Amino acid sequence: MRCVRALLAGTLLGMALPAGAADVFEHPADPVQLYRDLSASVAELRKWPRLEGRFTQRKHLDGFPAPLVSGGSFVFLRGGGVVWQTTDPFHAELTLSATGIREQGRSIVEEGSGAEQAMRLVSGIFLSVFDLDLEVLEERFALYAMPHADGWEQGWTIGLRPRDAAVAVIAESICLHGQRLVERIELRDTRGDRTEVLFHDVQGSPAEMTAEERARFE
Amino acid sequence: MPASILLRFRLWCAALAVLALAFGWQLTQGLTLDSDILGLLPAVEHDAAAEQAQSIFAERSARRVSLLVGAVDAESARTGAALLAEVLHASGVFRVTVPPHAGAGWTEAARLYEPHWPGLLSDRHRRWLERGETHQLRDEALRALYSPSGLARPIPAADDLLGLRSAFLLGQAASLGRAQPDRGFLTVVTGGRTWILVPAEVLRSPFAYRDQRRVMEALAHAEAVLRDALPGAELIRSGVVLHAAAAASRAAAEITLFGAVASLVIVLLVGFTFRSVRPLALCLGSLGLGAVAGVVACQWVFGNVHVITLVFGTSLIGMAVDYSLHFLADPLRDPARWTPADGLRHVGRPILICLGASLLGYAALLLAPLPGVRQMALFSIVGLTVACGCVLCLYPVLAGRAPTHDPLALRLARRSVAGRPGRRRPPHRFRPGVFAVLLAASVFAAWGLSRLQFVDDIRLMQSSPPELLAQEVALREVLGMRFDSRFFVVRGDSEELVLQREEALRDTLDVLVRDGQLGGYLAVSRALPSQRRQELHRRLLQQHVLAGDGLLPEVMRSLGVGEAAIERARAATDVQAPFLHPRTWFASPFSKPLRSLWLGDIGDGYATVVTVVDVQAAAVLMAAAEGLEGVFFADRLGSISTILREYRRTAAALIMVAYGVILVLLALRYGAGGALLVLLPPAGASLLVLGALGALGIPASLFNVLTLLLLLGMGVDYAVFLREGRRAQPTALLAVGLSAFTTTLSFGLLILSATPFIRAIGLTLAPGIALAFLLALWLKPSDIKDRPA
Repeated sequence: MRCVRALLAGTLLGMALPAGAADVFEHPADPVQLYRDLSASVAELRKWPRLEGRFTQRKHLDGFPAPLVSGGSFVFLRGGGVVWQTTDPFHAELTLSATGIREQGRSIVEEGSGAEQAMRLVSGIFLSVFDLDLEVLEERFALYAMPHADGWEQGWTIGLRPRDAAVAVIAESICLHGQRLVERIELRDTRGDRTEVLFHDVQGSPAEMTAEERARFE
Repeated sequence: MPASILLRFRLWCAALAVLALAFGWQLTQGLTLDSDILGLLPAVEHDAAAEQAQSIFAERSARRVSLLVGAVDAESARTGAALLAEVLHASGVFRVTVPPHAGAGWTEAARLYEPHWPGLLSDRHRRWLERGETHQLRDEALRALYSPSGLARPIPAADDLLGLRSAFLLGQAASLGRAQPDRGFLTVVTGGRTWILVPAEVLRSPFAYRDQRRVMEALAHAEAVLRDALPGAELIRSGVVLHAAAAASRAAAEITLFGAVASLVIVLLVGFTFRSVRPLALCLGSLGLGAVAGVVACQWVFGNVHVITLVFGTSLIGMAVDYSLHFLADPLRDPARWTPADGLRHVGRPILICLGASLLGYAALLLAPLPGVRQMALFSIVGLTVACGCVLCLYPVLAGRAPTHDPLALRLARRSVAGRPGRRRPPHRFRPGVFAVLLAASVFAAWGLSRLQFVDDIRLMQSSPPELLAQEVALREVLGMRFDSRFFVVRGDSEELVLQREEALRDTLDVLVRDGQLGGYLAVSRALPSQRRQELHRRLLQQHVLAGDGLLPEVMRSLGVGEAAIERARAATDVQAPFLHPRTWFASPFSKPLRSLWLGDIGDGYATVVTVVDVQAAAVLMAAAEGLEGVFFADRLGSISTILREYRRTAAALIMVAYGVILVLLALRYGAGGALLVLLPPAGASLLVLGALGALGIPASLFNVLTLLLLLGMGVDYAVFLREGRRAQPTALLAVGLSAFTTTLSFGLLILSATPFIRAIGLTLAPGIALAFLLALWLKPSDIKDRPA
């Protein structure tokens, strides 16, 4: 009985504690080396031009009793962007691409404003994270990485620290956890507020972008 | 030697000594050589304060130099940019932040605005709240909290749940077209290269010749250092100082070339004609003294000497030499019995009449409302007067004996004047052949005049070398935006009033931006709202957001926050917080990018500037300014064209008046008929030249018209001399012929100038003078010996 309880506790503990998120920032990484380390596990991710799945976003704000939770589905198209469809707690569909963030074809902020620049930054980083485009990430962030205790194929944590003030607007630090692809993104800001995005039921698909979809991302 | 001649000699020497002292003193103070082409143009606005505001801002903009460092990889570009900035800063000639920062970060911004939040809202949020559309704000806030769109927040969500403060800050983000802040540098990635913008400012005036040299040297040195360190790096340069320096060095080259050629020709001419050193020395001496006097006068009256004045001044060489030649040729009339007093008696009055006619021509130019033309006129007036003074006062004492040989030119002149003795020939003007030629010429002139087009373009004033223009185009392409030299000036009695008026202007401009008529604008009030606006923001927040039934409690409740926490959040926003004051804003490093727009106290109130980008049509902007009080659209280049056209018409009237006045003056001496005959050469030459321009399809401008005044003065010269020289036609002919030749050559050289309006002056005067000479020759009265008793 005792060993069952210990085992249960251990498993729960193992699940509750993220794999070394706290000290990934003690392991600076070189993008070339990291790319190699990750290739075995993310080979499949890199094959698919399209990824579909579900997401849950949890925002922990200081002074708020419970986190703000939203959920929905997403479609990621390599070379195009992401369609982010929130279904809970309300319906909204956003399109993130290199040109910015749009809702129903129109930019959600005033064109040409400073806010639009910031949106483009968010989009760009989001897309690079999805795609694990280390080269692009390395330009804007200092990279850190740590494998799972049993090796890279069992999972990894990547840490991102912004290189300049413009990017720091998004987060003070970002952690990516995953195995075959990014399963969890954790953003922390200077005040200690935390945003978590979890992906589940992600499927790769060989279906290329349709012309209609491409037009949405322009 | 008569006593009067000696007295005049001594007095004139004394005057020249004073001149030399003045010149020496000015040299020690430093001659200011100016090369601001647009400074040659008149003040455009009737409103003095608006004009002053415009020139303050234009001067500030003129100091700006934009440099783009490009390399294939971003890291090299950044290294190169930092290196360039460092070298430029070390030269002491530029002000440039090292390394170039893309604006202070969000921490400074937050610190600046922290105590004043209830008074600050972005335009979008203000409009929603004014219209009561709080649902828009709510939807946006919720979407930001629940989706990735809320990830870009300079102020964390816990402190700014609805995103109002973040929106205001993001609205202040620095950007220049495609250039984005990246690691502290304004970066553009385009065409496979990374470009970094290094904004710099020239510390001294971009138009003073000496400071320009230092700037260009510092730039060249910095570029060399950059290329050494990074062989593959590219540099694009843009800035007013580059164009001004190019114009100045071109002007310097022209002054040297034209001056050298004109002087050389005179040396040869005088040398061959008089075959002695003394006449040559006297000629060059009086020319030199005239030039020095011109420079001293301009420096004294205007405080500077413009390089274009000097380019034009080279033409003085050909004109002032006239007086010298008249006097020096006179001994040839009667070599054996000639004395200086005799010479003075003979050519003194004609020289003075010539001087008077030329001065009248230039004096009319003094009335022209163009500062550049006025300076040219003053230079010429003083230069000619002093040269003439030298001839009349110095030459009689210094000229020496008459030449002993008979110059070739004089022999030619004599042969052309004498016909077969005894045979009475009809005066030239009634010979059928010549008459036919003149009739054909008149028809040609009339036809040409009917075809004459006029142009009043600002491009008359300058043309920049193609390499500089190519760099401007390259800069525009990389940055993806077109800076405009036009801007709005907003004026008011107080800082608050200026900000309020600017906000009214911005409302109009926002509509234009939405309609695509305008790419964007930069204004201070976006970062520093007026107090009235700040009060409005507070009211709106109080009413719609912070009230018990407002948006903030609503959203917090929907997120499950307890009432106590909601109360705390509502109370935390202190609506009585102090207003943001201009002083505070200026003191913050965050205001740096916009500070140059604020003109502050211009003596007659306060002023600020709104610059525009990617303008589709200036008329729309002009209309935007019309309806608003205290707002004025400064379109200097556009206004100049209107001014040039207006002045062209005034100049034409001025010429008519000048002809009238000179006609009356001449009639006093020569009678009505004689006066008409004297005025016919310049009048005829003017019409023929204009006709030729029309026939060749060359458009005329204000400057062609203004030079007709000069043509009047000079044309009258020749006719008067030939008339007065009736008693000794060969020498008069020799002198006038040499004069016409040197003057035509001098002005002809101006046709080679790179400055379009100087070219126009040369194109009108050179053929004009030649024609005036020929006409004067044709119309000259016959030799007094031939006259019937």
